[in-house]
Amino acid sequence: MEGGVITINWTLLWQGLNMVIIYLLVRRYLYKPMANFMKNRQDTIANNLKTAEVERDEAQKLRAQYEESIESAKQEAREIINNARKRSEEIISEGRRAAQEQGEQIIEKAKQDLEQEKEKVFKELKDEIALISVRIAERIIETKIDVALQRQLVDRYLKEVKKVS
Amino acid sequence: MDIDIRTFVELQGVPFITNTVTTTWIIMIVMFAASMSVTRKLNMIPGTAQQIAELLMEGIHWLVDNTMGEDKMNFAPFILALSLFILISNFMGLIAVRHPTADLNTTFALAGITFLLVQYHGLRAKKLNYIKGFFQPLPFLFPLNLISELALPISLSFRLFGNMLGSIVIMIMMYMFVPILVPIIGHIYFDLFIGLIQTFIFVMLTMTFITLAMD
Repeated sequence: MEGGVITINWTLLWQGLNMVIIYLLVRRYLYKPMANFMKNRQDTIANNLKTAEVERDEAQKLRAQYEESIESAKQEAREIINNARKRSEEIISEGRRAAQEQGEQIIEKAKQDLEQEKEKVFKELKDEIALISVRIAERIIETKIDVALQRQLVDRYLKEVKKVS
Repeated sequence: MDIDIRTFVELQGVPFITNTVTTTWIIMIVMFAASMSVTRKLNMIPGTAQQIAELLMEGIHWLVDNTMGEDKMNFAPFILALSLFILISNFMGLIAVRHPTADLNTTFALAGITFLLVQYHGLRAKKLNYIKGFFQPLPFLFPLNLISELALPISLSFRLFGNMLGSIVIMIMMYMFVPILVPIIGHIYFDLFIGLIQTFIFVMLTMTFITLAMD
């Protein structure tokens, strides 16, 4: 109760000292740890963001690469399929042509064979006719024949020849 | 609460340890414990206490950056300590403890520290030009300049002291006349609002004076 409210006493020094101690405590135990922590966190976040950005760019590049390679693979596949189709068409048409050629050859050969056979038959027939003619001559010689009979014989044999040929 | 300051220990008839000093000690212990508990385990994802501490740090940084400039960020710890102490002291009325800031010795000590800081940093930043500044614009104005300089700690200390003592007086009267419910409004206004405003004014003026002396 001494001295009233507005007096200066030892409290002034105490409070000055206390304020200095408060300053030191706040700086040592609150300000510095908090400031350091917040700075570190800021740096960490900034770093993380930068790293994320770099990684994202890289991922985008990779994706573009993959898409490109997929596209080229598709292109290649298309080419392979087209080539195969073309080749198969060629094979088919070639086969068809070969078959046709072969067929034609067979037909040709058959014709030739037929021709040969015909000629052979004709030859045999001629021989036969010659033989028959000789026999006719023999028969004419054996029997006395008059002109009329002779004509009759010749006609008859000619008819026979015609029938045969 | 009492208008008068209680003395616990006297030294040759002069108050040596008063309730102002003991309350300040308790505030110091609380501040230390709170600081330790917050900064002991800081997480990347902050909890409530850490969020409040970070808000405080951001606020102080913002205030110092805007009032003093980025080159004077090393004043931030002092400004933080000053604001925390004055703020907690001003809020002491809420738990029916006499504000340490309602003692002229406290406010004078704080204003004195501010005054010393102003002179020290002014001298350090401007060297001889700072002393020359007292003789400008005309040399015979030196006494006026000196008085205006000395008025700084006096006005600073009496403003805070007067406001807080006024709060105590009005609150005591309020409890005398309407002891129920109404004092709640008084506490909100005189302890919270005035306490916050006066803290802000004290800290802002401290920052402004230091900056003026340095630039």
